[in-house]
Amino acid sequence: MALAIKVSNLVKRYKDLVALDHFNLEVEEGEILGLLGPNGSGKTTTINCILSLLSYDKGEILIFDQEMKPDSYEIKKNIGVVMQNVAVFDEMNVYENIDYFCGLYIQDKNLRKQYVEEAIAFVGLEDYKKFLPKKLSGGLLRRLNIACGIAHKPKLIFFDEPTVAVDPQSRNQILEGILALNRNGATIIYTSHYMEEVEQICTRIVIMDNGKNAAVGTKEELKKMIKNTESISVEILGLAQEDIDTMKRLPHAYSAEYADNHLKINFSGGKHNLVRVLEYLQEKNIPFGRVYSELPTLNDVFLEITGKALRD
Amino acid sequence: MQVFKSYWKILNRYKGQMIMYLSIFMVVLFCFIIPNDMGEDGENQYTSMKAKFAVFDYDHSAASEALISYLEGIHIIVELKEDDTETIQDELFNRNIDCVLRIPEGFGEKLANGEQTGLVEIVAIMGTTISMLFETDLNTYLNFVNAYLLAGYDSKIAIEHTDTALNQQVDVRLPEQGDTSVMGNRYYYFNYLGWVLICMMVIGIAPILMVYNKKNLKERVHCSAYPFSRIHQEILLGVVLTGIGICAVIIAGAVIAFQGDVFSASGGLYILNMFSYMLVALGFAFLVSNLAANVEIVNMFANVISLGMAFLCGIFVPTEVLGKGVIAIAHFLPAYWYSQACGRIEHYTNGALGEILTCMGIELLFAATLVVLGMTISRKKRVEA
Repeated sequence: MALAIKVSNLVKRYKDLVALDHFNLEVEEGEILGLLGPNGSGKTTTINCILSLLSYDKGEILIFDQEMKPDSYEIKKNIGVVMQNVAVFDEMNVYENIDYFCGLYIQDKNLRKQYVEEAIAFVGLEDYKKFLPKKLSGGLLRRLNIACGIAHKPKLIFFDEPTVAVDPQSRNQILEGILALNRNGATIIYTSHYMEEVEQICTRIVIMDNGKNAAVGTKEELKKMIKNTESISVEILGLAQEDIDTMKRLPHAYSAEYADNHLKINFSGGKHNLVRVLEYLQEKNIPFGRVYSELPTLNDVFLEITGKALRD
Repeated sequence: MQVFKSYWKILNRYKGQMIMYLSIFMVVLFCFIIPNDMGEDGENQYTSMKAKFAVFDYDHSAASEALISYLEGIHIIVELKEDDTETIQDELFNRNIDCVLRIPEGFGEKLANGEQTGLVEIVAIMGTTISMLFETDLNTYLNFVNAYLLAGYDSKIAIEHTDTALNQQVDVRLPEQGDTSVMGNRYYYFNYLGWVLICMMVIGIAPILMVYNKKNLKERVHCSAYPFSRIHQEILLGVVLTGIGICAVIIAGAVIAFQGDVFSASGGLYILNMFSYMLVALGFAFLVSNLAANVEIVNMFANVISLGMAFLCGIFVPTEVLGKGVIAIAHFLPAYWYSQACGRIEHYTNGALGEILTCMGIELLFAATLVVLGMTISRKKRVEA
């Protein structure tokens, strides 16, 4: 598979702070790559360097096998950007905004008109063409922001947290839209704080921490990288320390904690862990309430790899 | 020309205030300044008026002759053959005379006795300014004579002193610097631009430039396939065309007001000076767009800069009445050089061309300085971001 982006040994410093420390990244054409990382991990710096909005100290960035520079206008024709903050003109209406940004790539007037109409239909803003941005709700504004970034039908699209402050219904529409763009052949780079979104749409995930590539893989591959394979949580009113210690010694269990009337046992591998926990409780005649068995989430992966929660 | 087209769309949202300032300027000039004395020297506005009057002297005394002699000196005497009501009414109706003075027999005697009422009769068109002026002059004379009589002088001496006193002239001279005390309306038209151009351009252009300077929009545009240089060129083209458009409207206004005067050598210099100053105004707009955080602050900057310079640099207040310290400070402001150029152009002679061009050159240097300052601030803000 050909590479849409290849970043090699990228180093970016802000005086004494190393924002990107020999960062490497490969994005294959046609995939949706999720870029995850806590605040300050270097996600936005990476994107800005790839887009040539920032200069960097060392390394190489190739997009579609060509070196990316600030004046690489031929490469930029194939790139679309949907910023985290809504970047539209308050003085122009919906149609004029999309037409303006599309016009920065497409010179042909008729083709542009067709693309603008398609973009409006894609984000469902047909009824708001003449509206000024300040008249739109938060969700509609986000959709306009997306339409401005994708109207010229780019082959590579960057989505920088496009669903921040968006209601669940609009969020689902945006995610479905991104999947539709991908089905139409676009390669997507997606950054988000929302793990469930990344799990839902990304084919591959990069976890960034301290300007480095902490882990790369599909969500299944990432989950296999960590110790935890199953977490069992049981609601119990009062539990002796002796019982907690016994739980820790169950086959494949590596930790057991009891707090706020909840017992949580983490397992690394093994089958029938839940059965063994329930059998023990029955044998000891310990009454219990609700029982949960959870497979590891990306959040667990993230927590174990970076040592911190995503929103830290 | 995507950026160029967007410029006009954004300008469309901010044009209101520009039009408002231009309208105020035009209305003030066309309704209040130019109609007063179109095309004539300002000093003519202060020439005292003279009434045309007829006099019938039935007293033939020294006092009545002295009175007629005094009035003849400050008004115009018209000869009427008959003291006939119908004739007088016809003459008044036809505006051949403004009033008639009838001096009855015994006037000199009554005056010498200190009587103050019923001394003379006046026939005039009621309520006219000119007849009131005539009556005022007449009463002034009679009051003066009466005052001298009360002071103990005899009537002959009192009349002599009154003549002496009323014929005294106060020599009033306007402070002069060259010939600037006498300015035509064309001068005021162009000189006031020193205030209004700054206001219009800062309030109209700076908010547009601020829109393009918004970080998010700037980044999105810089990610695009549109070359940076072309973006800046198109914005610059829009700004310059706006300036030229405003200048064209002002020139059209000048043509309506002053007709052929605009197409003279001095008219051409006024226009050239206006274009130089327009660049200063655009320089201020660029600087303010990099300094101000929002449109309200732009308005504040526009008013402080334009009004401040207008008061300090000879636009609202002539430099002749400004203190030396103020003028020294004004040298560091572009409006001063604009106003100085206007003053010199008004009394343009070939020899003064060098001075006028020097003033314009200094204006251009100010414009360049403002742009460099704006670019420096813009760069600093970009690095800090």
